[in-house]
Amino acid sequence: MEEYQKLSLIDPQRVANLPTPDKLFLFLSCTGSIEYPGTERAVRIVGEKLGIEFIESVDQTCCTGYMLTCNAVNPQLALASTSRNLSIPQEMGLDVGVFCNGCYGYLRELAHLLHSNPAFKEVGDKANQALGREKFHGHTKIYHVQELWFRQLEKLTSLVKRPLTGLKIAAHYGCHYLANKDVAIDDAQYPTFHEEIYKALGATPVVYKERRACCGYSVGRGFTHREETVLPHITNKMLSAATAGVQLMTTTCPGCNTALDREQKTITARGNAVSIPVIDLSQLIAFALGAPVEQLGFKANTTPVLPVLERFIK
Amino acid sequence: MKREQASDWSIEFENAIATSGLADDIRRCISCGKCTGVCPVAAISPSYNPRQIIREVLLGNYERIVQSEEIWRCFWCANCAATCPSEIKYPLLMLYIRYFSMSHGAGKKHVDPFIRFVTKARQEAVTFQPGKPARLDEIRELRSSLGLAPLRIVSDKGIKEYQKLFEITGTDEWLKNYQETPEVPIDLSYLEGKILVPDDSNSGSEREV
Repeated sequence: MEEYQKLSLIDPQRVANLPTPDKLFLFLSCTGSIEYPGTERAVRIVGEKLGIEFIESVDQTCCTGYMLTCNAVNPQLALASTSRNLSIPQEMGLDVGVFCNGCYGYLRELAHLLHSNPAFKEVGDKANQALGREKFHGHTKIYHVQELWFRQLEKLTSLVKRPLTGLKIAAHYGCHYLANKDVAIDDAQYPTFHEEIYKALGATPVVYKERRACCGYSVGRGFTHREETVLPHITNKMLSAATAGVQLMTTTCPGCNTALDREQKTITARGNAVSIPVIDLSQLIAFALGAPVEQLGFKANTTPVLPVLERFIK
Repeated sequence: MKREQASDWSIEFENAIATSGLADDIRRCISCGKCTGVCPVAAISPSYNPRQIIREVLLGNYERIVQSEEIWRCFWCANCAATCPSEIKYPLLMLYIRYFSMSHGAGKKHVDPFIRFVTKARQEAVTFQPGKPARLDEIRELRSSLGLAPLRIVSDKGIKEYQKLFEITGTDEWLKNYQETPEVPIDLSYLEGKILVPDDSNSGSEREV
């Protein structure tokens, strides 16, 4: 199982370039807050252990990326709301930490569009002006929390309270993170940094065939093309993980988590019995660092999580 | 469905993409097909072919694209963008093509399911907040037990500002137009290079054009 490392393309320079902040603006995710609130809690727990204080704002709205990519709103709305949302951390003088690949991808892509096209920039600036806010200047940095966890991997390793010895874990990276190939710390075609994190927690990383496959739920295809393409796709993915002997899967996006966790019920009902708990990477880290299990919100999961984690709770 | 004619060709489409600022210049495409090779949708649904779609756009056959079922299949996973040697951001092209198709009244059946999310998000500035009281209670209970606010609530100020954005970006008007535009049915799918449309004489089956 060590073979995957030979192909590892993690860029140490990019990792070293990541900051180790003591304060970050936490960008809240709608799906995360509603479907898997344990993720939000876990992010705070891991942050606390690493000395990162997360500040949130009740003024922050939805990132609007989902509605944009479902073509259900005017594109200008997504540009304006990105500009507005990012003006909040800018005002606080903080960089942004995101725990949803969707929010991460949309914020980065839209912030890029805002600054590469003067017409789009004007849409954002006009919106902020009309709301009496300062212009968004574009200097605010946007990080996914998983990168920041990986940046401090040594510290995480030293903090492990529940070594996950023998637990076979597999990764689902999520497209909207990997699509940012110019900024990601790893190679989008063959990412391996989640596997490095599992090893640091004492677990056994498992590489399965459909590891790089997406969750199928983005841009609303889970609603419009569920029977036609999404279900066959998720079935392929989860069966390939089951064949590889995966006991637990982690995601870094509440949206992916919803697809891979909830749809197992349907896949099983249709004759392909599969039961692989899917949790967020931050939840896994928080668990290994000894966080009380009732704080991690595993109750929200459709595929039960505790059966595979129980033996590590003393 | 009428047979495709040479006169269907229009530069309008390519120009619209080039000036949109949203999608890249797809004239860089070298037709290598790597996008199609890594596409999870093409693996399941053989009539969906990203290389072919780019080709259609470059050939200016915009009527065929506008009425196509295929353009709505993309998962937006960006495998294609990660592998494209010409660095074309195909998902953004897809987003643009869908908007273009909608501006011709097509594709409503693939957008309608999301309008209710927009209506709700406009009220709450949060997407996906469920409406059913039982589900809301479940979420309240779980979140409270984790020491989080019972529900993810955006401040009144935040909601007011978000609604103002709907107004000043023309989204309210855009939505009104969307709902008032009559629907143009789409039923065109490509399979092995042939165009298939439902056969009126024999319901349920398809015939070649």
